[in-house]
Amino acid sequence: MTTGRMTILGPPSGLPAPLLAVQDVSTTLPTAAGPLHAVDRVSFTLAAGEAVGVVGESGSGKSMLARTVMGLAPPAARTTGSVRFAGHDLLTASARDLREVLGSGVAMVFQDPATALNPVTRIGRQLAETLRLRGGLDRRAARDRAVELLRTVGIPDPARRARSYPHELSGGMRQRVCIALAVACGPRVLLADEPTTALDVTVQRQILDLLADLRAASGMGMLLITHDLAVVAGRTERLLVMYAGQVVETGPTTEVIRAARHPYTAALLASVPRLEQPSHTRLATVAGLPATAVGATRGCRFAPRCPRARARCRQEDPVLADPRARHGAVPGRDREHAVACFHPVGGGGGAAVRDTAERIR
Amino acid sequence: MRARREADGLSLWLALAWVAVVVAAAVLAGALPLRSYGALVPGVDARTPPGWRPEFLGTDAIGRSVLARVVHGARESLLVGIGSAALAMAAGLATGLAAGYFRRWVDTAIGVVLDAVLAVPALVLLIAVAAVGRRGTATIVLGLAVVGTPSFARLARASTLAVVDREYVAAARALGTRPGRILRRELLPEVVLRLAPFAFVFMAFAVVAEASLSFLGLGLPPPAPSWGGMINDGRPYLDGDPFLVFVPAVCVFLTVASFTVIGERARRRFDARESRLR
Amino acid sequence: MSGRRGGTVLRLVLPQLARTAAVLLLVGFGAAFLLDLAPGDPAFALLGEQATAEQIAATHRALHLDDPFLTRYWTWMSGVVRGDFGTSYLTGEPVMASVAARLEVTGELVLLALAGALAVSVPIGVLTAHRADGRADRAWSLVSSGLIATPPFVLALFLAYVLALKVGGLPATGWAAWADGPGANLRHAALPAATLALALVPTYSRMLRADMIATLQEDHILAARSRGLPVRRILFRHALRPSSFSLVTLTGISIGQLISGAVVVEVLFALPGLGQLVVTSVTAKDVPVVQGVVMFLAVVYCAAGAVTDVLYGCLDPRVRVRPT
Repeated sequence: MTTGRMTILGPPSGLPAPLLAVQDVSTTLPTAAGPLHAVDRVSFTLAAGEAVGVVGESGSGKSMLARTVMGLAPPAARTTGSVRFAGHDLLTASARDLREVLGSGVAMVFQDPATALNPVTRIGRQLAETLRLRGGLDRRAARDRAVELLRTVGIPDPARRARSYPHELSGGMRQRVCIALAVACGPRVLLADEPTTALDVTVQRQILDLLADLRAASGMGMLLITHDLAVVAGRTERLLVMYAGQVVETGPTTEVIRAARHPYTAALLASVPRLEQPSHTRLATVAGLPATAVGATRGCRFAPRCPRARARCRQEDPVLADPRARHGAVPGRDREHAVACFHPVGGGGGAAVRDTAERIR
Repeated sequence: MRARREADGLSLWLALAWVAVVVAAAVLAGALPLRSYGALVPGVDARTPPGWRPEFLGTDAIGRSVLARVVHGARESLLVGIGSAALAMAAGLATGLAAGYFRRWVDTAIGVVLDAVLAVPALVLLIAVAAVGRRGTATIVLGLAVVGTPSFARLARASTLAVVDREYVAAARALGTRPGRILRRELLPEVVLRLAPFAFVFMAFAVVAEASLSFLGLGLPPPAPSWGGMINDGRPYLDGDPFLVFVPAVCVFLTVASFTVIGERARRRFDARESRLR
Repeated sequence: MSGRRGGTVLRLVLPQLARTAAVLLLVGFGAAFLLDLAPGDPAFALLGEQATAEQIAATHRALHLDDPFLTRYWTWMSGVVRGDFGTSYLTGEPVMASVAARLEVTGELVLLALAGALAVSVPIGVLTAHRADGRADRAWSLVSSGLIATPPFVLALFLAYVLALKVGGLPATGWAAWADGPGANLRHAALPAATLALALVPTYSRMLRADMIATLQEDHILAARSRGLPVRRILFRHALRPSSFSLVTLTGISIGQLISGAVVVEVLFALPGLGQLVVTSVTAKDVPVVQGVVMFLAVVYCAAGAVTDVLYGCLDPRVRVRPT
């Protein structure tokens, strides 16, 4: 037990029971070079009304984690572990049970609103279809509710806009429609996979505010997946930092940013532009190429890029544990700051993100 | 996945083997120790079913050797297939290259002519050509070449458009090289390579078309054997002696399938090469 | 505003119309020229072999056979523009009347075959794409390869042999008009239409499968699944329409293939359709009829292209001409 990865124990007293409990989830994809460990033994919980951020470079397995949690991993993928939601394990649920949960229990917003909408169907119809088939409304009620939803997500003149095709809308409008589709059936958990990446900077904030408002109004739990630390800073309570399919650091967002322990998190923080720097300052970058875990790997996956790596890092798998508790004596408790590193950094370096977060807000 | 790849490999080898058999039959038909395709098999009744004796593939409605006729029929099918594919490819190359290279009104004019050919259903056009010309292989080859030219030309035009903007062609143009030389030296080899796989697909089509024409009684004049004609001759006896139809039909089927498999494989191989280049 | 919209439509349509007219002129010219080359004198076909020189000369005068080729083409073409396709040398009937009479048969066959082919290929294409590389997909890949390699007339013979002779119940030859009763009509049309349809099914289903596989990779399909929509609805309502553009094009083009198939099938099943008319009039050198039929088929081909374009607009709102 002491060497195992994080285990979900009962919720600490005073905290709400988790809505969604992801435990030891792995997703392996077959590739020509061997099995790719896209998601590797990831665990976390999400409570009602809570926002959790997932941060990592592209290719770190964030999107695959979202798909796996939804029970929608590609057919070729092999998944293990469990995703508990409302008495179901979404990884082993029958197709029928899964369909019952998707949309009304767990919903998802995608990265690129240009491709996430059916290009040949009017947006009002797409909404009404979901409301009719999954929300149990009749045709007329579904049509009215669709317009209402469009209004809720901030689409001006929703009755007329319902008759538009996706290509007739701007990117921000399309993402609002995608969000309307996702929340149409009142989900209790929303997975937002890079919801602002494909949008203009000015629109990004509006979309993030919209998501925050919806969360506040409905009390749903939200997983906000992004490559941009600034997006999750100030908008999430807790944070998971992913690298090559694994969670390398987790904890309360403010604490992770204030006192990052993993060298990768620290490097991510250093690469965020700071306001007090003179313009044209060369930004720090994370050296080397993002790793993907193909085949059997040994040692820390960040070791090849890590300035602090030593022999042990290349031999042994670091385990996610509270850095203050020696020998990983406190397993689980995913609400506490934990890091998977043999030589964690001292902390600090979060000022930049706080600045950036302030700017976005 | 591996099983699938192996099955693909096997089907290619089978296709190549069958084409080799047909080619051998066509080339060696005169030299093989066969009976005459036009004469009756002495001492054997008409419509004798196949078997080792007295006649390997049986005798037809008149009493001629089915084996001899099938082997000689291979010659006709192959001649028509290869001949028409070669002619259509040559004509298609010339028109397609011109349309793709010169564009503007040349492209439009060629496009209208090709559209006019395409607007007439292939078999109707073929029947008209067959009715006008002298009955024989040459007429059928010519007709099929006319029918096939638009397809080759469209492919050639598209390939030309894809190649013409590459650096080495642009460089040759900038150096003031004459169009004829650019077309011959730079474009032709590339476009031919892209057209070659389709030639096999077209041969498959040509074999079917030739058989259809013979089936309609517009093919070679009797007693010359052709697979389509043999199928037509055997039609009245379908109920009692289906082998009369079955034997030539299987020959057509295998030949068409083989050409299709070879063409398909050639195309895929070429595509793969392309994708690695880019 | 409607005027401006009409203007854009005209600007798009006019060059297409001009091109179509050029194509049709060329088809008519080609048909006339080809038949002019043919050996034999239609006067003999008309009068019989014992005709006297005077009779033949009189026929030539009546049919303008002694005029130069271009004059005859011009006379014919100007008739066509007015809707007069001339009269048959053989029967003396107006060409359009015999085409119309035959069209009933061929038209029904072609439409039945198209509908049947689509009705079979669409579910097959969708389901083989849904479970690509599955058992059913691989089995169908084998069957369709076999169908592609089978010439239509062999297929027809096989179907006639199995369904008409062995199983029974379907007539192997002949035709019954719709007026003779829908049951008899459909029973006679069944075998020939099935033959034509089966020849199309492999290409249709493969084309749709390839496009569906691409569509099913798209985000909006994953998004639809993430909303818990039923699989069948996602396949047929969400994925099918954006995947059907190539199939629509192919359907338009296959009119020619269908007519070619109809020629064979009509001769084989002894059906009084256009295909049979082509074969008999070509062999009899009945020039006006051949020209008329060829012209008619070319018009159908061009019309099919236009219909395809319109369908494109219906299927994909992104290509519609819209006033903005």
